[in-house]
Amino acid sequence: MHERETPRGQISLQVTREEYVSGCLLAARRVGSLRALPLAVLGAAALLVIGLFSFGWGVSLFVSLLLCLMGPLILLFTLVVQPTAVRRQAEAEYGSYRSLMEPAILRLYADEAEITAPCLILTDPYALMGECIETPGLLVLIKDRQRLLVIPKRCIPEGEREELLSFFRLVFARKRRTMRSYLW
Amino acid sequence: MDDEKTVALSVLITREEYIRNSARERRLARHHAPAVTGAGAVLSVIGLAGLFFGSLIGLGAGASVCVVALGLFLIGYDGIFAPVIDRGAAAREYDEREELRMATAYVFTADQVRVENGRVKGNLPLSLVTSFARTPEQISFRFGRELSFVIPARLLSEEQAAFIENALARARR
Repeated sequence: MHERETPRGQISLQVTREEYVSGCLLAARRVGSLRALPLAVLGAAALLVIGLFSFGWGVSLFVSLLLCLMGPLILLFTLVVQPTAVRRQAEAEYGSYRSLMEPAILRLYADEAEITAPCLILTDPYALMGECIETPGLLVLIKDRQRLLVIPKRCIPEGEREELLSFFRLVFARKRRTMRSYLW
Repeated sequence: MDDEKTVALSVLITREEYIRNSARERRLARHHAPAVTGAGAVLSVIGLAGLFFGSLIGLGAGASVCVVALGLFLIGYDGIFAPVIDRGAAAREYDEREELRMATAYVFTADQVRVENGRVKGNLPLSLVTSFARTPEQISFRFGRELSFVIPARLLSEEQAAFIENALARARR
């Protein structure tokens, strides 16, 4: 009979609302509605510059004003409206996340992560995860456009922290990104 | 009695079914669609005004045509372009996610569902369902963003579908 190997580490997961929302923003930035953010900022800046220069090009005043206005509007949509929508949705989902997933134990095996919660067991192979984002306070494993695993670093036992962080950095060597926040 | 009744089934969803459902879900999730369509309508009106009264609002014919074209694109985005993009993304997602190609066993009772596949195993209270929908083609339900399930109607009798739908509706009250 096949026996399960000993996990490399075990983490008792307790994710706060702020951490969950931060994780969702990071996931949206990498694979969701915020992934075009750098392009939108560049585009908005370009439109603004073109609009300002166009005043001296003999173009109609309406077009020049439109170009100048589109830049700030795009910035407003990209930096305020969309993140607010993501944040609001994440806050609404946190309730069901907490009901379903807490308290949970995360066991890290050589090739998969297993989460044991009160009413379910979730098994996710690392190979099928899209990305691992590391911030100063979080590890966010992005499974796909919808699903993510938020691991607050404070939940990792102090004595095992460096070892487990090294384990994550090794496992996700090619799919790891460090960020300070969802913006950069 | 309803309380003792169970519905047990094994589901394997086809690629076409997943694409159809996922595209529908993305469309429903596009909360900004009315704003995009509205902006398109506004631009179209401005462009048309420019074509007929361009001298009054300082909008040349060429600029008016461009504004109208942009407006029409935005109007048509949600109805024409976005579904094509959504179906492509859903197809890519199906091909990338191995678990979608796994069979899932469900056992529904009046207040919970036992789910088992290669990724998820557990007894999930139906009171934790965050959304569900029944269409002629399928029943879909979600537990937040972590768990989503789709059961094609072709696998259910009318009685089974009604039992599941009633159980979901009752649990969410």
